[in-house]
Amino acid sequence: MDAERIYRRLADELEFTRGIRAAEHPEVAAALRRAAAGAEARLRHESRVEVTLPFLAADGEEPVHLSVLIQRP
Amino acid sequence: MPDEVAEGEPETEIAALEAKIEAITAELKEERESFLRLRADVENMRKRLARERVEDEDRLRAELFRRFLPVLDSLTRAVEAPDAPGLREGVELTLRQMQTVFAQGGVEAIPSDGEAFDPRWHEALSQEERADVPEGRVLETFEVGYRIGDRVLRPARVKVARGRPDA
Repeated sequence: MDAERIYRRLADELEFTRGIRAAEHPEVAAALRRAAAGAEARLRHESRVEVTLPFLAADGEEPVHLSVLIQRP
Repeated sequence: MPDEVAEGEPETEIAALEAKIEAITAELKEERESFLRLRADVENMRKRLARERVEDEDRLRAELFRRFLPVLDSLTRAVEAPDAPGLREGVELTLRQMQTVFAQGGVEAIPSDGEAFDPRWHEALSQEERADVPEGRVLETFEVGYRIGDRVLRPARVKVARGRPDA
């Protein structure tokens, strides 16, 4: 699975669960892209990886975390 | 090079000996130059290997710290985050992030609670007499140990069961 697809998966999860659109937050998008690149590299050796991004953003006073399991297709 | 000096006229003998000395001197000079070149090669190789070792160590250290950067980022954001209910969950996720980095590097926790004491992996900080537990069994772990393969990063610091003196 390439990094772009993983990025889309992470961005979709973030938008669906917390209503935050990565495209509107450059620092969030950058963090997702870094995580997607790391996950892509790990998926070459592992069948599934957990992408964990604590404190990715803030929703008002509440910190927003993202934890997504990515499986090799 | 003439190996033998023919016996004959003294002048001839002297000329032959001089030729031999000249040949030996030339050979010696050549050998010496060859030796010096070899010694310089060895010295250059030694320096190159030392330089490469330093570069390898730098590369490994950079790679190791690069893997920990996301954890550093998370913790930095954690201390900046407001004291909201999601703070604890975020710190737990950060711990998982860090454990993943360790696991990727081949680091694993050393099993200890309930295991037979093994001096390769465990360090006994205390003992306790117990009739209900086999001698040498780990009763409690004060500090989790870690290893990479057979290399101990830190032994597990434990309390070990001791048989009763009258047993």
